[in-house]
Amino acid sequence: MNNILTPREKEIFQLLIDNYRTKEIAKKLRISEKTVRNHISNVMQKLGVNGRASAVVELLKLKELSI
Amino acid sequence: MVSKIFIQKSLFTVLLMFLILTLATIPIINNNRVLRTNLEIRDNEYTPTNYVYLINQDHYFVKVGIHINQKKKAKLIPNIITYLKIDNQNIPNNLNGYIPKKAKLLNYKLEDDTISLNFSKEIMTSSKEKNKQIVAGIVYSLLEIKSIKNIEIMVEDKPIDNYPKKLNHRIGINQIYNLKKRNNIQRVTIYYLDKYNTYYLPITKYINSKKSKIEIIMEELKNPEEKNVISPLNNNINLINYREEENVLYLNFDKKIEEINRQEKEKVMNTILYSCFANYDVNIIMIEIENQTLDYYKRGES
Repeated sequence: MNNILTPREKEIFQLLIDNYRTKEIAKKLRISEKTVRNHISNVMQKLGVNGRASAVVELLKLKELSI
Repeated sequence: MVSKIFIQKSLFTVLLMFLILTLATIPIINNNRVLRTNLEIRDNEYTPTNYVYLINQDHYFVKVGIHINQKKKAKLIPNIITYLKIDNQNIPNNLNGYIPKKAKLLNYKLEDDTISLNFSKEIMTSSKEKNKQIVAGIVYSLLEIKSIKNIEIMVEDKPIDNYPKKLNHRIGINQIYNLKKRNNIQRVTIYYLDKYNTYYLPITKYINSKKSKIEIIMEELKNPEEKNVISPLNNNINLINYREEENVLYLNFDKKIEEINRQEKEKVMNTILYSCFANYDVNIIMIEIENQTLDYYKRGES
């Protein structure tokens, strides 16, 4: 389970839990909103979960994110 | 003549039996002692020198007072690790350790506020959940040593997978994830009492909340959401306000906190103090009643 997230995915999820919205993340990382959504969707698929909150829970458990 | 020898032999046998029985009933005196419960510390001549986290019968970590006859901080480390081993005979029957019996502490180092440990490969098991438990228990137990802020764990000179190099309270203990949304996430560690009213039981909760950590702690201690814990704090006690200034957390309560009896007061104060020290990077907690200073507590001395 090492490095389940790519650096970009990790960056996006870290911003998500820091209360950034999709639009704000896109602006900050200079990518389109659609790309942000794709990254989030890829992560949810990798983890086998539905919804961003469930993905955050799994990533916290896996120590991929920290608060 | 025969009967005289017989009487002498019988007397000798009785004396020998008495001696054996007497010796068998005297407990073996160890330098290291475990206190049966945290809540009888004041009545015990062996006041705790340290605290460790052990697993109770419901598989939760609980905070347990132990007595180690060792003043040098570095030498405490292997003693504490011994307490955390599975089936350690020095701990109460209803508690257990979690470090595999065959695991060895190969070497260790104490530098400033960081302890570095290097274990043999047996420290890690095939179960990820058990490995998480081992890491959390070691980290929380060693962070109880005064002025220690970070723990590094190596396995045969290599850092453990999936963890940052320096470990501290941020890793959480007895974690509960209760997230409904991905934003406004708070990590709060709250010390309750276990359901047997014997040991303090910490739970790290991940919740969605815009409230401050002390507000969450007080709400949880008044009305615990979890089933396997109890709290000595009743609903009447109110925290009027609080502030954090220069390494000190001030908690200003109303007068109802004075109405609690002495024994309950100790439990109430400990659950609040342990919870606050786990969440705030302060060295002193000042207790006030309606703005008048009542008492203060230093980290590691409450």
